[in-house]
Amino acid sequence: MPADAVEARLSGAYPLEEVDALVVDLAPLLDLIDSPKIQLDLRDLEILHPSTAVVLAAVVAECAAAGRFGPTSEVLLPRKAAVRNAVRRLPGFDQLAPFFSGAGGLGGGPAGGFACHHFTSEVAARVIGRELTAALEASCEVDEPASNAIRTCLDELLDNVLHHADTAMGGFAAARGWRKPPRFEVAIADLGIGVRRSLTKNPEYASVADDMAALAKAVQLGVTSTPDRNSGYGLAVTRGLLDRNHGLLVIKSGWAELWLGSEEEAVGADAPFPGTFVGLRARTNRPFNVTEVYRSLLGELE
Amino acid sequence: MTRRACARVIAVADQLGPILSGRSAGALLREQIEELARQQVEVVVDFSGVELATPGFADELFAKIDSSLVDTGQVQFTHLDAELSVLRDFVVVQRTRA
Repeated sequence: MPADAVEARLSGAYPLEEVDALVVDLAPLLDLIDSPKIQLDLRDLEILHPSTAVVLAAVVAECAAAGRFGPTSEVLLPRKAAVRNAVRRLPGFDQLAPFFSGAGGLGGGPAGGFACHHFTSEVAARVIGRELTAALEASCEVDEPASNAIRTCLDELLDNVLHHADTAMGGFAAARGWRKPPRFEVAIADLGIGVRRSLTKNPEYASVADDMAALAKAVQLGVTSTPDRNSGYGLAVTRGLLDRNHGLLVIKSGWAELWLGSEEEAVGADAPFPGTFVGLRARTNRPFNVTEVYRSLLGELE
Repeated sequence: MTRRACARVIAVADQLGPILSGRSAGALLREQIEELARQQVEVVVDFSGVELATPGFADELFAKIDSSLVDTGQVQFTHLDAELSVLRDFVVVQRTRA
């Protein structure tokens, strides 16, 4: 590797609770140091969680758009065939083919168990919301109320990226379901302006002190940077769903990370995430009913 | 006294499908309804066949529409199931209090 290269190395697995470790390991790329000699070492990546997929895809897209992959750049693909193929299918990774090296190369092994999507428009967001919901219906036991709630969450959270991230790059979304135990994860990431910078556009929240205060405010019903257009539903409704499900909602932006649902904790970050990450995990054998959330929130309002 | 033209029925599911999602779609439907109302047309918005609406869509349609059109009966929302009715009440109350 050249002496002035920027190296990022991922290893093992980064489940939803470990998204901060993922950001730490990708920090050399997020720092946007002006070096064309990127080495991205994914050889020891053993599992591609939805959270890993969306953050990795967002970071790589940003680097590629900035022309940071140069002649001496290298992407070392995962050794495990299933992970390697899933990584190769991430949005934007087809453009990195000239830099691929390491174990496996082309083809071989099964595809990963889920898809990661890139979106920059409402039309694309609607298609992705529909496709990810259908994929979860097929991969884990989802009843009709849960299917409706998943679609609602997805569409609202995808629209949050388009309405608030303020980036032409748009966002990345992935979802994966499991049958035993019956559960699913959804992850959405962008490298836009982040929650605090978005929220402080609204004069009512201009004095929000830091990233953690911004996250705590952003999950409240009715809090939005654009009150004339939006109403602050997405995160508040998602939080209500995860509270009732005893699931987990992780929101990460800047130097802050907030866990809601079964575990409620405000945690700092070891490395800043320049945009916004939202990830959730829910059990499908527990209530996941958005109408119940509306009823509850309506009761609080009246 | 203003005389209203015959009622115009908008079958939402036929026009937009069973899933109503996205602020843009909700805003376009609201603008269509308000344009008809400006022409003194009575508008019946029929939700038969609608399976789901998202809060953003519902906010654009139910909460941002000129409430006098609904109060006077010039615009009527029909065949809202229990889920849609709760969502409508939620977004209207939320925007009223905002």
